[in-house]
Amino acid sequence: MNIDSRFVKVRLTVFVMLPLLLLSGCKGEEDDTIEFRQSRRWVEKTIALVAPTSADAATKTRFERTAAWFLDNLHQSQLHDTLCIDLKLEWHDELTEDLAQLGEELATREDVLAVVGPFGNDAVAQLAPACQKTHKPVIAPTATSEDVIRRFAVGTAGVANKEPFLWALTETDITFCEVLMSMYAAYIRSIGEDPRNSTPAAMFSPNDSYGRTFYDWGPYQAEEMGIPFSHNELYTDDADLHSRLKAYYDELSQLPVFGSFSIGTFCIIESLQQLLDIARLRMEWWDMDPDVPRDESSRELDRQMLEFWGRTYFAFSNLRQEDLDALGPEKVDVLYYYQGFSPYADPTTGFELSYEVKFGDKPTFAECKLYDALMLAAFAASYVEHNPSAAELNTRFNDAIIKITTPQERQLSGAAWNTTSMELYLNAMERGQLMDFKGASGDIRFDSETFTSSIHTTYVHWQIKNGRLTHQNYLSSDGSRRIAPALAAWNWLVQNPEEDFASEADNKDVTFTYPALTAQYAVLVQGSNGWNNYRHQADVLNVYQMLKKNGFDDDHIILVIDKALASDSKNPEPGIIRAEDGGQDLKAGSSLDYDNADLSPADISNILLGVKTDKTPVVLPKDAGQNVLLFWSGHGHNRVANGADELAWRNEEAGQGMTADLLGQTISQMQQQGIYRKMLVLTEPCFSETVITPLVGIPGVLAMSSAGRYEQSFADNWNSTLGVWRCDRFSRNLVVHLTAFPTTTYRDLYLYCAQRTLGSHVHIVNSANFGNLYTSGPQEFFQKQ
Amino acid sequence: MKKYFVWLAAALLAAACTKDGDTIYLPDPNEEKASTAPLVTVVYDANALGDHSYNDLIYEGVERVAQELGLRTIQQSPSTYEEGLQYLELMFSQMEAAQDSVRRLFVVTSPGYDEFIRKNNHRLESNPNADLLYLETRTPLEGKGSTLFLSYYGAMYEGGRILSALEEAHGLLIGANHQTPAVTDAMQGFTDGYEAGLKLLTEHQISLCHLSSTYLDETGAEGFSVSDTVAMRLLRQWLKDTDLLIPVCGGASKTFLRLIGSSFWGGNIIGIDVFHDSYYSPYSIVKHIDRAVAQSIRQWINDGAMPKHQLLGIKEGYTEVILNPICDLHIWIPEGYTGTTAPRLTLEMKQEMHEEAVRKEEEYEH
Repeated sequence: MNIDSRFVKVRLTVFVMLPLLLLSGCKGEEDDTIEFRQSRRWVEKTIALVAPTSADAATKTRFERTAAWFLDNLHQSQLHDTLCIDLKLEWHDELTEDLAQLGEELATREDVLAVVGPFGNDAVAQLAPACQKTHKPVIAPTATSEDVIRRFAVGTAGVANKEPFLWALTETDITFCEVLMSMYAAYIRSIGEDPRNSTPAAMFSPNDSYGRTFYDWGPYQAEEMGIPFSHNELYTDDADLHSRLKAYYDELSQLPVFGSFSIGTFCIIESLQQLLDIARLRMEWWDMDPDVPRDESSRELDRQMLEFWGRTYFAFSNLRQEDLDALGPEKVDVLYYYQGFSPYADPTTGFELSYEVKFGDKPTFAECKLYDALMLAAFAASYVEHNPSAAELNTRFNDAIIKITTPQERQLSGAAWNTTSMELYLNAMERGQLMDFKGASGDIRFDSETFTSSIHTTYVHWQIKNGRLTHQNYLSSDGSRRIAPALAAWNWLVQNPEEDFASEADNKDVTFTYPALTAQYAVLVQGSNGWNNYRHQADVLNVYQMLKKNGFDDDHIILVIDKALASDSKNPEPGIIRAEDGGQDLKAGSSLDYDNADLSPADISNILLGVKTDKTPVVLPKDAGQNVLLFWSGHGHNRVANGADELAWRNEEAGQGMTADLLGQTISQMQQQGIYRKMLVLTEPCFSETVITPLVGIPGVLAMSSAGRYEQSFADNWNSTLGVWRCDRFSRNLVVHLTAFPTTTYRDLYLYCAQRTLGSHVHIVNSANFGNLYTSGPQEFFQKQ
Repeated sequence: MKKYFVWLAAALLAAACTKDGDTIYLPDPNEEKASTAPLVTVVYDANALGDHSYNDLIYEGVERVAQELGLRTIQQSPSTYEEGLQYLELMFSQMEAAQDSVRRLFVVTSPGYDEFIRKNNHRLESNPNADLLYLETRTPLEGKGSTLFLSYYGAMYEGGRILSALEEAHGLLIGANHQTPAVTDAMQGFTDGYEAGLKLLTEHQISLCHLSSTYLDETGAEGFSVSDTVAMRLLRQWLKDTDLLIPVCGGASKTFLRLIGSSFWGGNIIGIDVFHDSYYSPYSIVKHIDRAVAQSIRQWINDGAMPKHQLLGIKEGYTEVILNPICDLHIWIPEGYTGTTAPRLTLEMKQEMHEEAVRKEEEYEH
């Protein structure tokens, strides 16, 4: 609705008005009509604000007062302009509403300019797919799950989306992991120790989309920082967290370093109750009763000792003073000195201080980001109004966000969140000028390739003292070791792949002698099953098609996949498997040797060993002159996370897969029985360094895994229609590089995969028993000779 | 009605009208007006905000007085010195060019921009509604603008006196650099107070005391920030020989205070600028710069102008030493002491030291 039509009509006599009109430059005549009109045009824009307002009264109050403060500042800041945005908020509760349905509704409503929220990761995952279809802008203030955000990213990193619509204002928790790990590594170094010799670190994360990023990336970041890792655990609920931590503390007490200051424990928590439970557990572990007030004389020392022993770095956002107050003084005393970290506002914007002066309390992380989300929406709305175009409104709004968050030559020299600085910014925009600006929480910048993800976040180091929430320090990461500081955190580049390769392949000058090549075989295995594992089948079939293109016939490829997957009812293209949207049908022309539903890992072992049984009629021949490629895609387990180091088998329990021992024994027997000349083992699953490690020492075998022993292996190419990832990064990189460079060396293949398999460290083992990786290449396994 | 026409005439003269055919368009007199409340603009050093200390205090002081008096504020913390200079130039240009009657006060928080300020303050003379408040300088401005210097000498003197009275304390004064007057004055005050206190001790007691000093930036004018890694390395080195740190180094002080308070370093630290509530901080030497700035802004609003130059300090209550109630400060056993427990610093003793510090600051500053 345009408000500029509210004219006030007044008819006045020229006797009164004429002299005045002449003075002001207008020539008045008798019967002229004088109309009073407003000097500025207010354009009403509606933003759907999806927030967890029903969480509790304090949350609702905080959201409402922050939004009201912003709206007031926005209104006041435009009183010098002629075209002004009258922002209206339509509140929705992300905790009680059906978000998928809400997403469908908002995505098609023309009166809703954009959606701000939801704030939770799972909530974003539910609402965003519908908005993706219409490119309805969604500004997600606090979603930090790498998996959720990357699904909706645009650009080159294995993501198929072409047009941005989701704007995440906080970096993913990959960066949070980096901050936690780098701080710990710096601390270890500062006390004169080498992180590599310190007590292995442990991380406990909730088993949800929030915790998953820490679980997935913690070990990766630890490896980047040179920190050894021993525990990477997902907990299901408070009781599970309690028991896991207790077991961990019991283990710690057995270590010679018990009591050392160099213990790094990282605990990702979501409630103050969890923090309290952990603090109480630690007291109980020391045979102290947390319900008995401590002796006054030793109280201070006790408090410090209890917090310092086996210090835990908590990742906990949105801690509030009112929650501490609600605990009461005795419980809060148990938490004395406890400290942790949270994404927050850059202190140089002054937002935190102004908020405290205005409301007498610190803003939460969510409020800082809510303010920025509303500001970004308002600025983009203003840009759209000032720059008319025939393009579709959603596209114009998304383009406006890109435009106003792209670095400009002119700077506002500070934050633009308060009335007067917002006035300067909007006034310049009205005059056709764009300036760099900071929001309440700092720089608002997005990845220059994938757009969706923020590339700057400030983290606050908080501590509880005297029952008060205090802010000790502020930290941030600007992508020091990512491909570029303008890219999303999941584009983190492995720091020194060449050095890693050199340390793993140190036989540059050794020569090996092999019998003449007589044949080439490939065994391609999908270890998983079910629709959600679409990507694993695509990985296997991708390699299969490459081999076929390179001259292999089906008699030399043993293909093992989940037969039912391609015809799953969720597949809109029954029988078709693609590794990327619009890509080749990888299933076409394939010749299936085995449905993995009919086999077990022991049968795979028989296939490799050339043992024909009723279940394994097609096996490798026994030929000491043949090269054998084993490629495996699926899930992985490791001893710490699941109880066994193995390539998982379908839905079998841990321990029922292709264990590291079984694979090692099988290939060792193959060597002893003369079943191969040279063998290349490539493993895609998580943690799969664990299963290739036992191959070290077996002559003629080279093995490469996508991930380290505590690391996840990451998927690529999310497809919202299918609801699955289409492929995995390592496999995709493998095929891309081998297709483009058929005569590549092992070294170059490793470097390509290591630098592009983002999120895990590619490992290569046993070169000392295989050959010179600088001069020989995998052509002997992938190209028909 | 008469009042209405008077107002209308004024509006017509002030605002352009347009005519289209038989219709004359005039601005709606009832339309909401942009605020003309006085505007206070503050420019900080690069990345200064977030120090939980001097700069944050100014920010809070300005925001509180703005809330109290209904002022508008812009507080900018540039990310580089150059950005700060650009912003200063922009603000000075706007103040020069402003044609309205809005009152504008420009606050510069540190001598980092001294050269620019002293070269450009005359530009504000063309705007009777613009004024300037320049903090942390002893040298008044020639031409337009007021200056305010908060002397830290007296409070630091009192802090040094207290240290000398403590039994076997080994202190280390850590200055940011040799070149910043606020730092050197403060260090001089602490040293003078400490040495004055030594004169009251026996030779044996003096032999057990020690106060040394060091600078974070030995040759330059920096040293106001330090990374955690460097700070931890320095702490390990310093705490071999000392047990009490006195960090006079701006934001770097905060880093040392935070680190000492969060680990078992085996040392203590004196709070600087703001009260430091830590078991390891026996007392703090506090600057109430927030109150001083707020008071100046009140003068600007209520009296129409600020004093040309203000020197404030311990006498006026803008600096003070605050003892930490959770720490016991054991002093040297006085001759003839008959008590059964180690004697402690009493409030009476502190009051005497305070009065001495007030006298010394007056002598020093005049």
